[in-house]
Amino acid sequence: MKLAISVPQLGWMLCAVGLINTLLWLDALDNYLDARFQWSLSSHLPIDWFEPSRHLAEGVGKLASQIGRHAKEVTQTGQEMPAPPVKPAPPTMQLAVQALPAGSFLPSLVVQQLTAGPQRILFAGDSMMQGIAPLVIRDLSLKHPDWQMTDLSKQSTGLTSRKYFDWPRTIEQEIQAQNLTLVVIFLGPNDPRDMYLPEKRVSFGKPEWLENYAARVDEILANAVQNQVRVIWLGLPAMREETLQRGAMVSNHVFHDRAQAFGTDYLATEPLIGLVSLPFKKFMRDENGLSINLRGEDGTHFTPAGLNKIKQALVAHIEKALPQ
Amino acid sequence: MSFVSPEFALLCLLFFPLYWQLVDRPKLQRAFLLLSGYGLYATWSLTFAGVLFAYSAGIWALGWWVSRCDKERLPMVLALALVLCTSFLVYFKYYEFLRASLSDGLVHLGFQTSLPLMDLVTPVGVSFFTFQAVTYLVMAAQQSAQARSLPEVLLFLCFWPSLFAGPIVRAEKFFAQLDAGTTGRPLEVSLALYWIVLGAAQKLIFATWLGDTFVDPVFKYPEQQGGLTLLAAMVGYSLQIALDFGGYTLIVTGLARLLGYELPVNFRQPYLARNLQDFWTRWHVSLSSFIRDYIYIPMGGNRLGFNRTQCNVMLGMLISGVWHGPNWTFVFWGLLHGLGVVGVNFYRQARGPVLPAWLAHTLTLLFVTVAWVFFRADTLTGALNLLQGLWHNAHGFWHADIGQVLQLAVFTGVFLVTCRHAVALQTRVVDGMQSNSPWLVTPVMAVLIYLVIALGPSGVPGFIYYRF
Repeated sequence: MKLAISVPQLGWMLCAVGLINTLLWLDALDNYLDARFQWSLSSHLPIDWFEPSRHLAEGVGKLASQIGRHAKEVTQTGQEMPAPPVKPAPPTMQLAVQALPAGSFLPSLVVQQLTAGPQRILFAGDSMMQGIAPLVIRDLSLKHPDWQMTDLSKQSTGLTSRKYFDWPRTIEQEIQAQNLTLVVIFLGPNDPRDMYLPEKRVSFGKPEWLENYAARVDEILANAVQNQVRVIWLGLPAMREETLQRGAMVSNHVFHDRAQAFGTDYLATEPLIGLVSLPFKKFMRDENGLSINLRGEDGTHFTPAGLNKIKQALVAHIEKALPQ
Repeated sequence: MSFVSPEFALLCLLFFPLYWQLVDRPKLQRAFLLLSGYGLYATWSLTFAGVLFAYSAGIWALGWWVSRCDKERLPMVLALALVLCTSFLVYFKYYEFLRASLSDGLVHLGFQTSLPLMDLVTPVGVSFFTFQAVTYLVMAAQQSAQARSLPEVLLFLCFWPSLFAGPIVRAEKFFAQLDAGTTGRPLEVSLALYWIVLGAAQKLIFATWLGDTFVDPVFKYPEQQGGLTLLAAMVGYSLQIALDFGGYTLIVTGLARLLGYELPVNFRQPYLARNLQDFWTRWHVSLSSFIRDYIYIPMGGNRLGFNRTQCNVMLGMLISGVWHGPNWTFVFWGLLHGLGVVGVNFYRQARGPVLPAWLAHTLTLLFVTVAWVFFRADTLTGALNLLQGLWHNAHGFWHADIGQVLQLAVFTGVFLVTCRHAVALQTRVVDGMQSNSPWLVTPVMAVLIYLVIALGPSGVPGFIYYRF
């Protein structure tokens, strides 16, 4: 086989193909870079540049969904989608997050009772929920075959970037569509990053970040409360990576505070897996004194033993909330 | 950084033109390639880039030692070097599995163990570069004059197209290319570009579609599915893993060609195999041939009688299974394939009738598909439950989305027919690319890549073999 394309030609070819596809996918690339590296192209380039790629992606997305392929998630360019109005005025929260003394943690809040009859439960969250939900659903299905349970967990999602995946909106839609009785939420490790708001970027951990993050939690809780849907929000355990550990501390503070304010439940995973106020540990002793590995290699996810501990706690929590 | 991520594609646009500019300065070009390998590896973990450097330097020193020792001491020195080389893999990948399994086993017998707990993270690609290191040490022992310089060994073990998920490159083949001076200039450009686009389509469109539609939801909730849906998931996974790993291999082989290097063949249409031995000469060829040449043959291969041959086959397949990861599912998968190959050998020994080609092909596909269940499942119990659900099922066998099952059946048929004609198709496309002007090829490629992205998933999907 001969070399039909010379090296300089090949260089130009690759650049041309790259440039054409960059322009044709500029909007999706912006979303990707925001979600992956918290870097926004749209805050550096004229907004008009993104229009053609958005329209094209919308067209192709529709076509792809018609022929049964996965349509791309097309969202607005450059700016966060406007949040739907929250009906009940959310209570204000204490915005100063203090690290808890070593060895302590925010305790579970058990305040809700489920309504009588078959439950319709939604499991929402990121890859952590992807690990937990199948186990919980399997367990509950055996005990309550008439319950309807939906697992919508999706990896790499959170509350910080609504452009990539919009949990408040998705949960609101599911509440309406499925007439849910309970929503269980477990997310957070994708959240310790800057937030892009219309016309500005808010750094992680700043009071303004906390305020906006809490507003997104409020949006979910307010909607659920208004529709008389119970919520169990799972807190995060200790994380290996420093940023995630700090994120877990901040997120737990917000989740706990907002759950308390709205009268919903908070289930602490810290005593089961590892306290955020202590250094990360992969192993924990079980009741027989044996050391068991609870965490995946990345120090974020869980081994089957870790998943099992959380599953048992969550199932017990749900069973306890059933009317006697 | 994944090979199908936007950031990798954009970096390639900067890297390749610069790399080709250095073609007349091979030392500088190789240094640039080495640096890019470490840079890419550091995007996964900076610490492990350092560990890989130290490991490679250690392998270079061991190679130097092996190549300089006298013939009498060589077997012992080589054995020691190989133990040191592979203990790195055992320590990082299997320590926790061995500790936990030993601890559980002893507790059942009424003992306690005090093996130290280690918070270990396995370096990405460790199974691949460790096996490459083995080929280097064996090469150094066979050809004493051929021990290589440190930069060459560093490049061999950090050659980025094969660093993360293979194919496993043999040292003698890699260094022969360096010595021939053919590297650094793109090889068979049209073929390389065809492989990259085809591999991306296989992975991003088809493997992802199969995973999302047929495999993942069913393996997640097998008890909620009817028998036919479970069967569709099994078939779907067989196709998904072939398209995922095959697509990955095409992409990296194409990228290596753009760098001027040839990677070994890793797939030869495995689902056209007519028995299990044939399957293993077509599936993950760089691993199966490694196990054949570095484990099976040194253990005696088929030279020590029929029974000993079967033992060697079982051990080789067991190692192949364990190589994939510290989980009993992989152990069982390896043993199952071992038993399958041994079964074929016994059948031949007993001079059983030669099966018609269609029947042999179907039986082989069936066996491989059932075995993949153990490869895919998280636990042995999960795999057995799924298989049991094929006939013991509360929902009945026919409880399924028939439209989806038909889609899969059509896709499977098209896939198998395409496999038969893959080489002819490749020749036709590559000839077409070569006989047309680059100014025509460029927009066609741009459109194809646009379509691959459009029909692919949102986000960057992981490759199945990145875990190993």
